[in-house]
Amino acid sequence: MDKLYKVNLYGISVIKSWIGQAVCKLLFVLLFCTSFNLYAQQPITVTGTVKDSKGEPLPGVSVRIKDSQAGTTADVNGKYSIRLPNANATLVFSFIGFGSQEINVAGKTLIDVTMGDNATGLNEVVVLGFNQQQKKSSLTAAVSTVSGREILQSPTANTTNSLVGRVTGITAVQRSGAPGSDGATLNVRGQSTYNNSGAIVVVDGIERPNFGDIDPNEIENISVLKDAASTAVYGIRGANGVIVVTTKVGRIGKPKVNYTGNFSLQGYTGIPKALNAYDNTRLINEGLRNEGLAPRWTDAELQKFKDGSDPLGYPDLNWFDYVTRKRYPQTQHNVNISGGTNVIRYAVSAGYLYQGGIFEKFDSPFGINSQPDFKRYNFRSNVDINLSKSLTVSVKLGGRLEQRYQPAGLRAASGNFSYDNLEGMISRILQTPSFAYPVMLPDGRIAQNVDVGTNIWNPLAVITRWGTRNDDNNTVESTFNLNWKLDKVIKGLTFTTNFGYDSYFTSNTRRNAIWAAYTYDRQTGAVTLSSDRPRDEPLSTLISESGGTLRSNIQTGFNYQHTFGKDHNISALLLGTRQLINGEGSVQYTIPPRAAQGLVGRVTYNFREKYFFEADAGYNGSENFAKGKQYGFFPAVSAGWTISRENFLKDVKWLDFLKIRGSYGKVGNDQLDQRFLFLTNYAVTANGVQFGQVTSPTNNQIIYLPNGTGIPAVNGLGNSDITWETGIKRNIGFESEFFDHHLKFNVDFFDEKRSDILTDRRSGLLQFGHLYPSLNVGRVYNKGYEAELDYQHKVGDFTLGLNTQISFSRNRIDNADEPLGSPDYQKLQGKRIGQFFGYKTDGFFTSAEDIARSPVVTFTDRSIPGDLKYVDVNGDNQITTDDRVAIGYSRNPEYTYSFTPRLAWKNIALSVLFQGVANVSSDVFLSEQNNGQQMYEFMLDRWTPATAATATWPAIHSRSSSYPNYQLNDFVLQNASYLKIRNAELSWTLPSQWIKALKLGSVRVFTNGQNLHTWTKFKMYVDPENVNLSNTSFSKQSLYPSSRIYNFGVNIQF
Amino acid sequence: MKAYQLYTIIFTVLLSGLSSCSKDFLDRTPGAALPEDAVFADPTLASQYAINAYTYLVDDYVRFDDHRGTTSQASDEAVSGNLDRSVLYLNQGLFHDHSERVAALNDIVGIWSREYNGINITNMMLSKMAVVPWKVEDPRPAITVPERIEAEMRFLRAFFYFELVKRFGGVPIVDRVYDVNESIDIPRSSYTDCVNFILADLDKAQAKLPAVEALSLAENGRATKGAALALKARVLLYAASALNNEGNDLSKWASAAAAAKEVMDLNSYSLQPTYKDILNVPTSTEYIMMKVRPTRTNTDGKIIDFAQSPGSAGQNGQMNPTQNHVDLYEMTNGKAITDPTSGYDPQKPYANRDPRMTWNVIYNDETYQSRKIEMWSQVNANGTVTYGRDFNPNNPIYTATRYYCRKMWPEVYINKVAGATYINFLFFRYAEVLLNYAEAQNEAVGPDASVYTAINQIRKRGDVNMPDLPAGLSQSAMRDRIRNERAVELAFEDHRWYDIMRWKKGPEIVAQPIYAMNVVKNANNTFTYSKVLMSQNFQKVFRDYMHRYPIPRSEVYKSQGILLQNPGW
Repeated sequence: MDKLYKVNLYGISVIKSWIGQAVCKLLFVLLFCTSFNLYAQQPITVTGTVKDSKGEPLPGVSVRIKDSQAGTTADVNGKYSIRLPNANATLVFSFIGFGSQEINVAGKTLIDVTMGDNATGLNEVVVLGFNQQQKKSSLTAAVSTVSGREILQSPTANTTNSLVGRVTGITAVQRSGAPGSDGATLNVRGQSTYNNSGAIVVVDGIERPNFGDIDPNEIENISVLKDAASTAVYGIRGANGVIVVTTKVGRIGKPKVNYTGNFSLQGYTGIPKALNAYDNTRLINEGLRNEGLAPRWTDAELQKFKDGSDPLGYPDLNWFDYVTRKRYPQTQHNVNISGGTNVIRYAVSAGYLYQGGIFEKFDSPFGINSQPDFKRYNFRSNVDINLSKSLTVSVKLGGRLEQRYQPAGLRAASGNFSYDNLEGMISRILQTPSFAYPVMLPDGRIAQNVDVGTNIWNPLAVITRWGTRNDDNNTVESTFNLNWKLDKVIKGLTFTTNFGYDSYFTSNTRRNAIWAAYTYDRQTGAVTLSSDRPRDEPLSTLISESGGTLRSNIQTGFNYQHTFGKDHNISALLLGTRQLINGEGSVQYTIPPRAAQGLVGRVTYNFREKYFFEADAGYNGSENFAKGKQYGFFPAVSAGWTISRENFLKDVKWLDFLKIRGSYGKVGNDQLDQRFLFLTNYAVTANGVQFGQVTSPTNNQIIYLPNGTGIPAVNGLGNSDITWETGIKRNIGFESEFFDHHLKFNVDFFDEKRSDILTDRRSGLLQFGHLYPSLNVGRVYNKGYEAELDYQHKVGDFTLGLNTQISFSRNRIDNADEPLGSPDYQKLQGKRIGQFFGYKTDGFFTSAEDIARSPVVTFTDRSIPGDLKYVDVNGDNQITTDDRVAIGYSRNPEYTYSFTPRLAWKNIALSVLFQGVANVSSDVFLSEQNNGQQMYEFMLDRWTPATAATATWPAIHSRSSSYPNYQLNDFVLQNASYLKIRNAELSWTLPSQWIKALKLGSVRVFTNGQNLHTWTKFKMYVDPENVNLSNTSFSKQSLYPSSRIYNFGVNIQF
Repeated sequence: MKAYQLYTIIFTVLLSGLSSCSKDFLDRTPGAALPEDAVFADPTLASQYAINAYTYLVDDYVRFDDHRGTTSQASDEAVSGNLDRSVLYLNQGLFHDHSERVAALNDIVGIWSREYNGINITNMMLSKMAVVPWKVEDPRPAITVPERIEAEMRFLRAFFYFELVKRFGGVPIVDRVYDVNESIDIPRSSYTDCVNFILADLDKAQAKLPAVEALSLAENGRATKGAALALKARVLLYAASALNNEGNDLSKWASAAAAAKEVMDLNSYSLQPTYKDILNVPTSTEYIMMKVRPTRTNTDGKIIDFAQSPGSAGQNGQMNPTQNHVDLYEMTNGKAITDPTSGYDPQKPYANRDPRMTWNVIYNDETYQSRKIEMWSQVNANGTVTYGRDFNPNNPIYTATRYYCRKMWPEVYINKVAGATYINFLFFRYAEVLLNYAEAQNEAVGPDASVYTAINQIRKRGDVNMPDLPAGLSQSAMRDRIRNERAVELAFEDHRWYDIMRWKKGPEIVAQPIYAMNVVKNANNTFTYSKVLMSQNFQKVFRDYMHRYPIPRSEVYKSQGILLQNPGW
């Protein structure tokens, strides 16, 4: 690791001039410093106590004289004393989480202050990139925040699932509920690129891979940086937005010990309703008859399924119910201690999470635990030390150990056909039909039958006899911070350094076993060894893989803040940054460390907090681009106008605050997911051409020139012009507060033109004979809005409130290098990212004549009445793949909205978060065309001649690959919009007289829940968010449902 | 004091920054690049570059969608038992869909791309022949003999172009390496120009390629003079066939016959005495050029997931010969089963048939891998139906026709018990040359003695031992017998589909009704056989314009109107 930052001036003129500007600014500032010293008339001393809204003394509050750097901090008992230059000064009381208050001294010498709980939010301090803090009312950028307290209302294991509905501009989709890998996919303001659209995550000022597994009790707040003004400082990496997480630090005061315990029961949000054996076999017969084939089951056999008279030969078993449990536990404990003196402040925390899994407990002859689970141990120690009045040092250490367990793992050399995750196992459970075979033969041997279908293995055997997999993740994230106030050199100047050093270590360990299965012949009762599971094999030795990553990151430079002549508030930031990531990857082109460095600059100016101007810029580069083309300059400008401070609005009583702000800037996205594309890559491989004796052929080494045909990253032609994506973002926002701050309304409109998106050369002719290099030619346009309305009113002991949010974003691909001649309706261009394409349907075929006079369905000639009728889009009287058009939306919702009524009475508070999405589709689909032909309840409403008028499902077909109905079409593709009771919480803070008797600080008990109810038109029973995209060997419906959580918790402060 | 503090900080920062990195912090480029110039500055590297072209030959029978379809299933030879879309699209005449929706190597855009990739390598190598400092050692390692490399490049380029023209007709001739910024949107050459281009390469190639006798065993699989001549014979046969020879110019047939004769006259090749292991031996006098690959292991998807009966633990027994194909095998007396005097008994359909039937297909009640193959259904006394272990109509992994394909599932291969078998892909084998000769000679001059000799040689093969063709056949009767012989002898070897296309016989042969066998086991353990028309989805569409593949539609879309589509598509 190269330790400290070096200004890199390599061949760049822009930066020189830019530094020049910065230096000019500094000089300008110096000039002001020396000429405007308007000090001192009649010094007085003011004292007082700072309390919170409950009347408890609040230590650690910063007390500052407005327009100067002079100030002090309230002591352990909330008391302060400050000497003022004159009796007319204004004191500013500020404290993170409580906002700030300004009080004109007006000659008083005793001022007691009650800090509000962010009643207005305007004075709230928002954490921006690079540890910058700014008062919310003076922001010119689009930033939304969510506090740690709100996050704690959601009893979710992964913090990413707590954000949705609580903060505008975030879309979150939870694909899976598997313990330990149930985090949501987050996008900031939708997607502006069809490549990696993930926001970068910054924890305590340092970029880190994710924040989902940080104990939510450690989180102070989360800011979402959305527009160019807030993300330009991240330059080449800022275009997808930035999620800034700040962890809790200690405050001056006696040690506070805080315990939180959560005890939850999880259940699934939805599960497919499988048909029983009788209905299932009856429908199989119907499907065969529909196609003129002989039924598979006789009436006598159907009867046996119905009456259960022969449970061995004619079983009826809902496999999902059999192997899963309705309720599975989750517990969470956290103890944290915080406090501090004038010299040292500390916050230490230890947390534990246990998340149980969906499967029932079963005995295993090999000692395999059938229940997946996840355990997480979190530790954090944040210490701030004031070495002197001007020098502060902070050390933040956050560590966690995550242990994930699941039964069954990847069998060695089984290729991509694997049960390597829970989704794969669930896929098989979904397909094992209720009539397949009993769980076991009476003597306890595992039953199975190859005739049921390909790979329809006994689900019980899979979870008790196929092996184990343990995944461990070890993380240590450390942050060292130094702040040195250089007021003696230049008033308002601070030298700051932030250094992060993180270590991530992962390992997974698998053991495999195999079982013998036996086939029971329903006719003869004979038992034979199943050909696909011929023997028992106990657990193998350990198969282990491990790897890790080291990340280091340093930011160092100067911060400046000063007020000139009462009215001119200026701040500036100039930082150098450097980042090095070691250790991901194993081949030549992935193993070199990732490096990035650059400069960050920020200048803000406001006049009387009325007119705001800000310029931000990032100048940075990464190792992933050709020399000379590594660095980009990403500037943004923004401005704000607090109209309510104008004289003409002074007398409008109902208007408390009104601000308009706007920003414009350029940001980049360098997450290409491929490395060194600028290099022309060569490959030599030993697995070349084989010549010689067939019995022992010789592998002749071959050489791929870069014009070879492999993946471009391995041996493609380089493109030295490869560059990052560029986003030009615009934002305009209005913030307002009315009626004594009871009503708040904020709205933001934005758009972005993303260009230079790395795109495969789709228009290059194959005659070229090798792959064309990828080009930065893709363009996407994204626009949208966000609005938030909050109302709160206090009547006596009652507090009523309502928060409503809506976020919308819609994108359009403007260029994806498609062949010019392709028909427009099949092009990606002009459509949204991830747009589904499929057939349009027009009801069901009503009769054979109807089929005969309709266009021929070419992918089947098995059409029968009751099949979906496809629309012949291109009018050639044939239904072919050319008739596929854009249908539905994409998998990512365009609208995310929420409304949260809240109610408090004395010490009891209730809030309910309703959250929904719209304009979203899901192709998760269950049909009878699975390997085992398990069917589901909605198939009872299938089309038959008798039910033609009311049918909601097509006619049943036999299992084959020529079924006509389930090509992706607008019946299969479902509307996945939903409205959920995402979260509800009822809490009660015990009366203080009880607590005093118990000698405790405070006690709060609460009960809350997550995903309590879902309203949706989505037909597939399961949570409309869920889809299996993680194990692509299996169908999309192979999913682990999201959890519904009922939680009881207690928070005790000692 | 103030200045001192500030400068200390700045100085410290800059100093540590400067001292820590003498090289550019962002320069993380992986080392060990091998520039193009270096490759062609070293004869060994250059040769290793050149032989990479071999990997772009079409070199396996089961290639659609990885291992799920063959051209046999597109033609009348077989069906895809589980209607794999890679085959289904061809059966339905939806060649564009076959091209665009079948991910792995499909026969249209997959081949188009693969062959032009190979062509690019040969073009590059041919352009660098003069640059490489070939060593003049004695003895020179065979691999770095420039004349031979050049000949191999020309042979391979010819082969690549032939694979294209046999499918698409004339294609754009790319005869040099184009720069990334150059336009390569060039028009299609005529079929004749393409053939002439191919022949020019082949003539140069055959002159410099080693004779098969000169090829050391370690070089088995590389191009020889015989292979170049065999390719030339095939190219000329295709050029003389109805699809490409509208006026039936007899001189084209004559040159095709002459080219085949040239291979025969080398006297390097002869028929292997056994037909039953024609694809399964390490070497054979019959093999003119083969793809060298090790044995197929007992996890090879091309067998367990394609050809093997689920009754023998296969996963998808989807390579199912049709009754139409089985009916082509003559009786051992040399008569077609349609001949009333042939002695064919529909209830003993597999008795006294051309032995090649047994070596090519697996039928009911045949003893295979030490057990009886059971593809029957039986209605029990109580009305329930049971099925033999190799057949289950309710599960598409079992045969759809009551046949499995032995050529693709050799007897030694028993899933998960015993593995490892060869299924050699043969680019050329001698029997094909004889058949090519007979066909061309019969068209050029009629059924002369040499035609009989060529065909009867094949029929007389040791374990086939079929009677000679009857003397005195008319030209057209002889044509039919040659075509039948070809269908039987080269069954499932990736010939039939293209033969049908060049004969322009798609509507007659492919679009005919496709039949399967129905086998019912009787109470007394005998079988009742009946030929049944297969269900609609196994029937095939073939229209006149399908004798040539469509140019990949995506390529036509990319072209600025220069690359023209074949008529009808």
